Amino acid sequence: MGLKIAIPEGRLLPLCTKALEAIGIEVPKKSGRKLSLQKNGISFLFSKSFDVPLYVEHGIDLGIAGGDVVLERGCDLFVPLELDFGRCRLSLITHEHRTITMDDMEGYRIGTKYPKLTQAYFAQRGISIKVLPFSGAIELGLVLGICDAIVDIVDSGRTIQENGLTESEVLMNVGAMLMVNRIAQKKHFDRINEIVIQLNEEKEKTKRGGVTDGFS
Amino acid sequence: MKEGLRTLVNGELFLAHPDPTSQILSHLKGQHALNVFYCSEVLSLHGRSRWQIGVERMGDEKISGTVELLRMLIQFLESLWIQDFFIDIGSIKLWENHMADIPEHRQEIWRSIRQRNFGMIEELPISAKKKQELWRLLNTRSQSSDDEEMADLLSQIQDKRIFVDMGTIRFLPYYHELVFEVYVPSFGAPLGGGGRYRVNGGLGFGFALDAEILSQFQNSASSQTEAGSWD
Repeated sequence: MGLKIAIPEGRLLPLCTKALEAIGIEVPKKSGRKLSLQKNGISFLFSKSFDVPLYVEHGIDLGIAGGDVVLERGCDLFVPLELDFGRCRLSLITHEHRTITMDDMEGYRIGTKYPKLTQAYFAQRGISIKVLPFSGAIELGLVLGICDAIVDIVDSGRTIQENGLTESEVLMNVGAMLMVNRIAQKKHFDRINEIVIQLNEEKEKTKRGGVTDGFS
Repeated sequence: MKEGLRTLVNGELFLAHPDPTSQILSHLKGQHALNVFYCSEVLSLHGRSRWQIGVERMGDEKISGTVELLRMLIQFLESLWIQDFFIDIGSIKLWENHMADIPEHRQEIWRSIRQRNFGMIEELPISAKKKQELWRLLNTRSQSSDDEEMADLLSQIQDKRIFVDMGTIRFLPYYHELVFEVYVPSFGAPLGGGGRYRVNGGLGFGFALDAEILSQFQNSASSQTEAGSWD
């Protein structure tokens, strides 16, 4: 039985493809509406980033998704490697013209796609907030005044700038993560270890400008 | 049950009862050997209910008690027509022995084993030799063992479906020695697991299977037979 790999659609897709192809795993080009494709005996499943951890927890052997998504989902799976791409920040965003401290945020309505991480962040600081769970274009909720602040991923920061918003606090820095299904780790023990080692070597190569020094 | 942790979920009061083993153990004071069979509802802090089927063998210090219980587990699975399962055995004691000279890094190492993330160990200020030793241990998976107790267990059970896999760890506070997980390769979640523990000055060994996962497994096995698998 060949490996099954879940890959996120969107901005991570070309980066995942590049990382896998660097270790000799050719990713088929997604065309049309087909959700899964096969190449060289490996099945590839293309899904929304938020669903990748869920697929991996429930039987897909490997997957790649952003650390924000992996932590928010909190699925029961292995995370053997943090990858060196897809780096961004999970940040608290407010209106540009308002200067607010964390202490002022008691009772705030905070819009986010990350309700668990947001609740945990404020609860750790003893601040009680109300989370408004959005699924997309969260900035609009803040612009329209539906929420007092938002927690979202910031990459270049262009969207928040163009909408008169500002990044007030970084909750965490995140990057892409490799996930492995707990049973797949046993079932494909040698192959999965080989993939983890190769991806780590590629990461080290990039980090040190061409010199390999990974665990093996 | 009076023990457990009270919790409010959507305004309703629940008594969280996450683990029957510790409750059974707290009621057993004697040192004599006995098997306790149970089927219990387990309620998580999120108010989610599951049913668990389990056996605890108490007051038996010998490896033969562990062998007997593992044979019981194998028989139980076979009686459900589950033949293609594997039992992977790990050892908390062995890991603790390997960490004995670097106690200040125990927590990070346990976190790294839990996620199977060796990168975390790579970052630790410990010798390259120690890192290699931990890396080898994490990747130990075979049907034999250098550890005397594990080797004894394997030779007594004589079942090709049992592996020593040091990446198999169960994080419950009372486990301190052998731990194991039961799984079927075609199904993406463990069916259950167990381990050896010390309680009231004596040794115990137990296992539990998740009734909901067993039922999901049976359903998925029959639907795959009818419709073919995803492959």
